Amino acid sequence: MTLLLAPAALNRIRVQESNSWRVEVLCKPNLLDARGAALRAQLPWLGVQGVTDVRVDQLYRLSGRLTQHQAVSIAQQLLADPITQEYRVNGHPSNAVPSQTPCCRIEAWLKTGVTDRVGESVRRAILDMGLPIPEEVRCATVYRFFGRFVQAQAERVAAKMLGNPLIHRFEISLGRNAP
Amino acid sequence: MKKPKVLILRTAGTNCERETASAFEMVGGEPRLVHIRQLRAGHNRITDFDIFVIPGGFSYGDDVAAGRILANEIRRHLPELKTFIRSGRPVLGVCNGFQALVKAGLLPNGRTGEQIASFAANDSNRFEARWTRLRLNIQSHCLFLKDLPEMIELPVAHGEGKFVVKSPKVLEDLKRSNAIALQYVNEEGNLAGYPYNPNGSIFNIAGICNSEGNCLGLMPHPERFVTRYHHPNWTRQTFCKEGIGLEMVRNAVKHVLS
Repeated sequence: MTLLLAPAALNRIRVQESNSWRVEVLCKPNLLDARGAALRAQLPWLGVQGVTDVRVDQLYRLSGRLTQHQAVSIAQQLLADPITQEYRVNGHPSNAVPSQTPCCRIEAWLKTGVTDRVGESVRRAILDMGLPIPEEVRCATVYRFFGRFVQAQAERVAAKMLGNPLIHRFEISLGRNAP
Repeated sequence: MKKPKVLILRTAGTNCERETASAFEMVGGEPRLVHIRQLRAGHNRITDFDIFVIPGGFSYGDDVAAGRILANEIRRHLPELKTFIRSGRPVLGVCNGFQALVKAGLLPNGRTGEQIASFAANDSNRFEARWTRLRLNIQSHCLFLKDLPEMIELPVAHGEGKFVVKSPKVLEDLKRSNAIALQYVNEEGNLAGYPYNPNGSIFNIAGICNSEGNCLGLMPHPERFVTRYHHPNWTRQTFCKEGIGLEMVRNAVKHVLS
């Protein structure tokens, strides 16, 4: 079945899509990632031996009527620390590109219906900046694993170490799909 | 004699304001807990006070990063704090207050308003809540530290207290200008790693003061050492008759009265 849409409707969809911004906040590579180091040290307890490094970053999804300029301002002035962190908005780096590709990437999001406390604080802080308040802000923790890691291990680590499966959902990407 | 009026800033998540108020009351100050909304709405004015304190706690739940949202609020809605600091009146930021002052660009150098330092998670990845040994910079002009012994002890309680600077040049400038007011040290008074340095701060920095000496930010909590009985070893120690933290706030009150 072919779904036909009028050009105006297509435009509306594009505008809607472009108004969801993914802001990724990364620890600068020259700084110790204390959370990542602690996590890596704990992995052998779950029988995971081949991981050489772990980085832990934050990911924010801002949904609402924000322009790219506004999303970048939010990343720059609120979400990323200019001294210790770098940011990417919808994948476009400020100057933040991880030097090597991880073997696995796990995003831990709060499930729909679970209050995102950090997201609510971010919404209020955005309003405080004099910018349009986003309809919704969701926040996730991103874990990047370097070395050897297979799907079964990733699932076990996610469920046992990275969150509470009752309130979190995990998005796992392995190999080339793990930017 | 007129009591110096002390503004102790409150906002969602601050939790050390009552101890701080009590410390200032003990040394003859007139503390008042003022919510940031009261300042923003104009119900209270910063300039009506003699001393300004941002107490410890977890402002806005430490969401995004410790002190980040409060710092943005200060930068955008309390521009008069910069004028207050320039006027030479005492300003103290404790723990979360220190983080907010640094992230708002008011410390170490508030003139440009640029953020040149920040805080990262403790190297141990733990919330460090314990007593630490500190060495004061005796060459510092900081009014809060006047006539204090060189070696002191104060408790810390933070998860994100690792002081980091924008560049090596910033650290050199801090050293040259005697802005480093307090450093974590070992029993011999030497700079040492963990556990003496509880968070991995660069050059063991525990507190920073501006070049004028009136604005101090520190991670340890002076308001938690206002009587000798607060010290975990009070039955044995003889080196101080009262809490060092009390001496620090007394210096601020004395400064205003003088």
